[in-house]
Amino acid sequence: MDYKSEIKKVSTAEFFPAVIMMKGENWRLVQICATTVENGYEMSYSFCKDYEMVTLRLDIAEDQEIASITQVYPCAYLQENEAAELFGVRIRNISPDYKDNLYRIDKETPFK
Amino acid sequence: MDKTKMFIFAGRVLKNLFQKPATTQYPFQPVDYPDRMRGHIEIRIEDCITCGLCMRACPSQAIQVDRKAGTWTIDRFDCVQCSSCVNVCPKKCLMMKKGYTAPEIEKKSETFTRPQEEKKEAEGASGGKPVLDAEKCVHCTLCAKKCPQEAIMVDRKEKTWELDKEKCVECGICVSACPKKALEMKG
Amino acid sequence: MAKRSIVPFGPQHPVLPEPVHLDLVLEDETVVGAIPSIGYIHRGLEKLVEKRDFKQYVYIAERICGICSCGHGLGYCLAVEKVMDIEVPDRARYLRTIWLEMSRIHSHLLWLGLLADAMGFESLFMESWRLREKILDMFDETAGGRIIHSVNCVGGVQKDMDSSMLQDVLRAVSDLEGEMKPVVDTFLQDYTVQSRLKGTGILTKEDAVAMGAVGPMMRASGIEYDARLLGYGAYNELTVEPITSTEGDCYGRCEVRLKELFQSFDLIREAVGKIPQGPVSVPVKGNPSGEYFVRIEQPRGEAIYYIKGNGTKYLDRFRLRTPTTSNIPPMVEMLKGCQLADVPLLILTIDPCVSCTER
Repeated sequence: MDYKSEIKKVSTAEFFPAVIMMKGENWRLVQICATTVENGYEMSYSFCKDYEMVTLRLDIAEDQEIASITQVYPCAYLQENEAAELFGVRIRNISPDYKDNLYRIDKETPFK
Repeated sequence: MDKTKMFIFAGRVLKNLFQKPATTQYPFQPVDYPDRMRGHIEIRIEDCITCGLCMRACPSQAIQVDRKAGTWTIDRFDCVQCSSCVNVCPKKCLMMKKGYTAPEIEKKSETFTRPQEEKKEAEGASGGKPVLDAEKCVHCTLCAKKCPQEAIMVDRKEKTWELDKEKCVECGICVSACPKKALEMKG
Repeated sequence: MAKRSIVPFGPQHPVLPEPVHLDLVLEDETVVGAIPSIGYIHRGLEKLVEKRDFKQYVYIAERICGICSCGHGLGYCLAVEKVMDIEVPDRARYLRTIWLEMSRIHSHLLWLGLLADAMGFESLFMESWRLREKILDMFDETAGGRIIHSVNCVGGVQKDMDSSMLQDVLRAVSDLEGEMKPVVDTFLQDYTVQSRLKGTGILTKEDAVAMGAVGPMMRASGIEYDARLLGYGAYNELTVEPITSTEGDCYGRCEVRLKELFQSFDLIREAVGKIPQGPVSVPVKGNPSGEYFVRIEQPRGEAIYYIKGNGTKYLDRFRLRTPTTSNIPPMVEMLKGCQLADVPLLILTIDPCVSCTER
């Protein structure tokens, strides 16, 4: 009954290779979540394969830019745009980048 | 499964033509609601102790309780019928009743006022915080278990009884729960 | 090359129950690309978790969406229970499962009705919704609300079903099963329905994995995955088999959902037969501290709930990744190459739930 669901911490340098490795091993991307912590954000990227789940946890500073994973996982764009718009996480090269137009809300980055 | 047919649904359609409608002719025919239906909130205001637990439990902030004036106000338009207040009420004076609230053309709230003749001396009545008679207390922790606010801390080993005055809402449940009658509400 | 033009679709459209907007790039009548945008009904419910205590938030989680309400409440409760290490009583686990399966039936019947409506088959639409009414009446009797059930709470369920209620549920389920036959036949065998559904909106198995499809959409493309097999609720003691189809077209998705209806009937019967006696909830003391990801199978697909507690009664973060969030990218993939007239039908076959998606 208890399937694996672990959270792995990765550094910014390890992150992209780790995502590419996940893709190579046929994990599917299930979830991207941003959480505001003191002086920055916690990004969680969850992947599933069969019934197992692994979450890559990336800690970033408030003004740190990270690369988009839409080049590897094209379906990530909705959730990456969501993190960028609601939390103000700086994500580079999302394709397509909605540039603050995904949610039609007045306030900029309301969840920050 | 892959067979292709035509007019499969025609029988049902013809039947529907000559059948009574499946819907209830609502305004002319009254609706029979089941007992559990969450329709609207009712209050037995004479039992209310204005502790304010319902106000704090309400996720949509539809309830206002004024302790000084002894009033309980509900904004029927904000209420989402979740029955959260009914679950937390220590006196069980809130009830979820069947039947929807009637539509209105104006947004307004409904206020209930507690009757004035308060029996302050009566057991379990509100008015003041609980005070412990340390000689009678056996540290059974019943009061701490019953406290809806978790305001009472009892340590059986150390034999201490402590009240968090900030958390206490003066509901008097601890007084009625005490088997040794060691608690008393004092103003 | 034909001239390209862009046709806006939505946010208000007869087939869409909720606002979603698509910019369709057309070459003559063929769709070559689509850009989805949502954001008309964003309410910020994820942020609200910082202002309401964690027991209260169950009521808000349920109100994220009307159709998936039972699952949202359950998913949130499961996450909190996991963080706080609460063991839910057996009877509560079974009751949750019964309610969850009932909500799957009502969601799928709603979807079948909408599908029929999108094809212009009005009488089939009415029939599906007439049958759905039986389940809604059962919800009204057992939980007190037709759509928002408010049965889940942290530590168990709020209400018990007595044996007469369980019998009523069984009776409603068998009634429904009997009356479903002409509806199932029409959806799967009728000439007009088949000509609308077969071969349209094909999502290959590879695309389904790459674009992250979930739920019936993924199973219709031939992937055997059903989050119920993770064994939350009472599913570890019941027989669940993922229902798949190999075609990956609209017909396949319709077939999967129809078969899931019958699977739900069987699951409810099995759960009612096995339900143990006992308490339905345990008292909850203390505050959650820690984080956890929970996956459950909603009628529309796998949903993921994440909570992060900091030891106070207000949680730091609640995240809900809804099935529709995951299903929009494969839908866009599917739209490429289809005819403009099929677009409403294709959008509908992912069973979009925009309220959930935007929270």
